[in-house]
Order: sequence, then C-alpha cells, then structure tokens
Amino acid sequence: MERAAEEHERQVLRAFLDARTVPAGATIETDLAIIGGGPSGIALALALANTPIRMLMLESGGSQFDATTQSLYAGRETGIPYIKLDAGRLRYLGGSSNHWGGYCRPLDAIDFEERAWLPHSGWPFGREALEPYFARAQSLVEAGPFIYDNPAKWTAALGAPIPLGSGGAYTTYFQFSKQRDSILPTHFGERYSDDLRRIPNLGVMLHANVTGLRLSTNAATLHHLDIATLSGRRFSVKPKYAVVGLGGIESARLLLASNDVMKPGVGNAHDLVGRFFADHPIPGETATIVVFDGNIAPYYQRPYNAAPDSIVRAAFSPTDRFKRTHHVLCSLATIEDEIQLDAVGQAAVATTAAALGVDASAMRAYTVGCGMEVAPDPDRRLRLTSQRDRLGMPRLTLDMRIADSDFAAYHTVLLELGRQLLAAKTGMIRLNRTTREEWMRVMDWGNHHMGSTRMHADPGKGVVDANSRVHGIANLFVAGSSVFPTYGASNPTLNSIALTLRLADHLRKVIA
Amino acid sequence: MSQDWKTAIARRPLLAGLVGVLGLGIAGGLVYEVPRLGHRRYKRTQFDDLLAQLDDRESAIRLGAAVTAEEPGFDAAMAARTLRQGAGRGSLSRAVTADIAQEHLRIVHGWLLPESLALVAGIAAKSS
Repeated sequence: MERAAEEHERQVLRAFLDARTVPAGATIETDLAIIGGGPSGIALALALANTPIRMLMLESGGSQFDATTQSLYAGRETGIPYIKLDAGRLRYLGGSSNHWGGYCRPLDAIDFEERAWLPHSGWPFGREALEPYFARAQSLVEAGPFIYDNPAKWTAALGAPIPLGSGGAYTTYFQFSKQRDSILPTHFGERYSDDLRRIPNLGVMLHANVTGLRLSTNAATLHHLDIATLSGRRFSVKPKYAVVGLGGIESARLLLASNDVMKPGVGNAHDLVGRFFADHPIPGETATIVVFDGNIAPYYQRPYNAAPDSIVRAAFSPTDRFKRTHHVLCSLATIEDEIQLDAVGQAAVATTAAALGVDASAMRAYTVGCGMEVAPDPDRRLRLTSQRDRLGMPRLTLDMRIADSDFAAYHTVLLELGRQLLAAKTGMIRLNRTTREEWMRVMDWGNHHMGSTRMHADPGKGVVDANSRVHGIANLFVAGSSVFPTYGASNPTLNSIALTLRLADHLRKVIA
Repeated sequence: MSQDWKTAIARRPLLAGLVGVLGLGIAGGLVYEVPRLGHRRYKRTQFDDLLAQLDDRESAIRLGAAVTAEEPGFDAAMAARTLRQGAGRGSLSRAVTADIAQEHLRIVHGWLLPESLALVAGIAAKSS
C-alpha cells in the first residue's frame, strides 16, 4: 500500500513541479501565485485556464496524505472542547475536500444581509452577486443540476415531504458532491489532477510551503513569497498577484505570521485577522421527531439517489422571514436514526394524536441532528503562539467559544417546527437539550472553518474588501470561506467555490 | 293422553324459550363485561366532562404524571376552569387547535404539547 502511494506520488511529480528540486535561493516569477491546492485554489486555477495569466499553484503537501506534512497544522485549542487543529483539515493536494462529506447548499439571501439584531453581520454584497457562479460551482463539485428547493423531480416519484402547518420552518434540500456514480464526494486533488496538468498557463508545485508574505517597504504591495520545504530547501516566488487559499485557519496564520513589515501581520492593521473564526456546531440527537403515520420519504434519513445525477437529502430550516421576526440564525435539522420511545413518550404521542383525531398506531420516532449557525464573535479567535513548527512558522492557538444564544436560536426553530407538525396533525417533537451542559455533551463540529479573514467594505471591519482583496495591499487576495463575515448553516464548500469563481472574474480583469 | 302430559308438552317450548333468553342475556352480559374487566374503572370526579374527552385515559394519566412532576403545585380545579373558560369552552379538540394556532404550547418531559392537552393530562393524573 505504501509502495503504491509512493509510485502514485512519483507519477504525480513527473507532471507537477517538486519544490524540493528548486535550487535554494532561487526566485521564480509568475503573474499569479495561488497559495494552496484545496478546492478554492483548484477552482481558481481551472477558472483562469487558457488565459494569458501565468499561474503557479503552491501546495504544501504532495498528492497523498503525509503525517509529517500534516503535523505542520498542529496547534493548541482552548475554550470549549474543539477538534484538534491538525485533525479537522488535510494538508495535501485537494485539501480538506479529501475528507469532505459532500453536502452542498447555497447560502440563503438573508445570510448576506446586515441585520441590526446580529452584530458584525453583513456581506458587502447580496446573494445575487453569487447567483451567476452557483451553477458553475455546482458543476465543479459534481452535484448534478442545481435544483435544491425545487424538488418536484424527486418528490413526485418518492413521496411528498412531511406536511408542515404554515409557519416559520420549511423543508429544504441538500445536494451532494459525487466524484463517480454515487461515490461521495469530489476529492478535488484526485479528480482534477489531470485537468490541472493540461492547463498550459499553470504550474503546480507540490511540497511548497509558503512561510511568509513579504511586503514592499511601504506595505502597499506584496513583494514576494518565502517558500520552504520539509527537506530544508528555501527559495522565493515573486508574483504580480497572489491569492491565499489555505482555509479558514491557515490563511489567518500565514497573514499573522508575515509580520516583518506590518508588525501586527499582513492585513491586520485593525486587529481583525484570526478573529471571528467560526465553525458549524453539529450537536447530536437535539430532538426526537415523531411522524404519526410512520411514513417518511427516503430522502430524509440519508443522501438518496433521487433523480438522475442528483443525490439529495431533506432538512428543516427556518425561513428568512422567521429568522428576521424571531432574530434567529440559520439551522438545518435532519432526520437521523429510528428510535423507540420511553413510556412517557408513548403516552405523549397517544394522547396528542387522539386529541388531534389522528391514528398514531403506526407512528415512528427518529432522532434529529442539525448543523447550526453561530453568531459572529470577535473573541472566537486564532492567535500565534511562541511555539514554532519544523519550518519555523509560529503555531496557532484557537480560543473556541459558543454562546448560549446560539443554542437558544436553534431551540426556537425546533419549537416552531414542532408547532407546525402539530398544526398539520402529522407529528410532534421532543426537545432533548435544554441546558448548556446538555448541548455541550453531544457537541460535534462540521470542520467548516470560516470567518478568520472576514470580508467587509470598511477596512476597520474587515480584512478583505468586496473583491476579496486584502485592504491596503494592492495585489494580495484571499479565497475561501475564511472571508465569510457571517456563516449561514449551509456547508461552505459550494459557496466558497462560487465566491472563488467570482474572484477569478475579477482577477481576469485586474491582471489583464 | 292425559291432561298432565299435555301440560308438560306445552311447558317445554316455554322453558326452552326462557333458557334461551337467559342464555342470550348471560352471553350479552359477558360480551359487554369481559372486555371491561381488563380496564380500569375510574371514580367519578368533578372533571368528568373534560376527562370523558380523552380516548386513551391511561396514556393521559402517564403523561399527566410528567406534568404534575414538573409542576408539583399543579391545581386540577384551576386547570379545569382554564379549560372550560378558554378558547375551547370545554371542548378539548377546539382548545388544542386554538393552542397550536396561538402558540400556547408547553414542554412536558421534553415533549412539545398544546397547553390544553398538558392541563387535561395533569387533571387525569391528579384524578386517578
């Protein structure tokens, strides 16, 4: 197995460049440096293929997982329990798409809005700015036609969604990235290696760690990049433009660690880099849902091949109107495992169904999972420590937090969903978590790293501007979910790629 | 043929009829009573107008036990007054529908219930 991996790596390197073979002290010039070979970097390279822009993609890893390279991610976690910094992401070609679950869903329109009741909210543009890019992003993640909340194609054949009374929750749909047939999901490195090799204006350099963004002395432009390999080689890349696409943790680390000219770090004049870090909490068994007649369509419980080229799964989400009127964040509640009820649960179902005049003799009960949005929090933060990795880069510490109000918002949505089930006489809900301790006991995370280089038109409120350019630096951009100022509950990959495609259009104009 | 014999002949259908009627009565009684033997008989209460609307009183009592456990001061008389004077005017079905529409809901043992249902379940538990 190890030999096969080594042979694969040799084949990849025959087509790609190997930073370990670049002469020490060399300087490589290029029009555009793409820092990171994850979904954003690869999407950007594909979008700028066959243009006059000479691109060089710099990827820290090889084409396969390597423990030594992965260990460069190690850091410290403080605050509430969180996934270890070297466990929730992957450092090789394709990045974290190599362990992605494949869930796709566009952000909701309200996710982009500035909301008076949600401090630090507001993208510098609305969802309409991403609309032109969703279909192409959908194609890159191989999730089939862009259908989502127009599910007639599969509900006609597989059964209608669970009826809900009118109110603030509705049934929405995920679609799924699938690399082949129904194999989830698209691993960007494996899937697009051949495409990258064929791009005439692109070089892909593996084992190339960018350890510094070196600015001009007036701090107005990026001058060059410091590159290091684990084999000890060091050299420079001098790009006209550069895009940092290292994910929601490492992008902030690189900006913070590049502190020779700008002492607080690149783009950090207002102490924003690393702040507002976010992930989607995915607490387990948050509720129990009972369906009185026991019938649920197969697309509820798992990703389901619902239509040609479309794997889908249903979830319950608050409407934008409900979010606005009740000041709640987004959440996506999914039906999970079938369970047996205890005596009180059986009594609650029997009594309620009888009072509603419905037959619950065939009722079924299921646990409810969810992905939650959290409110932006400047103190949920990545910072550099005095510890350094093998390349001399300062390691990170993450102060992870979640507010009680984040749980309360999701609780409000569950209450509304339960009310609507009762109104439709189709089912009911048990809320399984009340106290913070109960929520934390079942807490898990989506590994959706966002927010640490947030986007805002005002340099005092954001690290990058509406075009993803680092405020104050003429030729440096950030791609990926690290620029999300608010997060929605949708999985970030599709949205991040759509945003990257928008950036590609901007770069095409700027660099030309 | 003596007169006694004639009388005996005349009584036979009469006795048979009586036995038949008695048998039917006993059978009917058994059909009615045997299933009831497994059911709990409830003492009469001042809340029977409400409790009679419960299709499954045993389940309501179990649910009501959770209601009263979470609200030790649960007052059945006050709950009954609320139900009789509320939107349902004593009709559980109407009250439940109104509760759902007006978001008068209560969480009992985690279960999200129409308020009226929780009240009547509590009354059932208190009355058992």
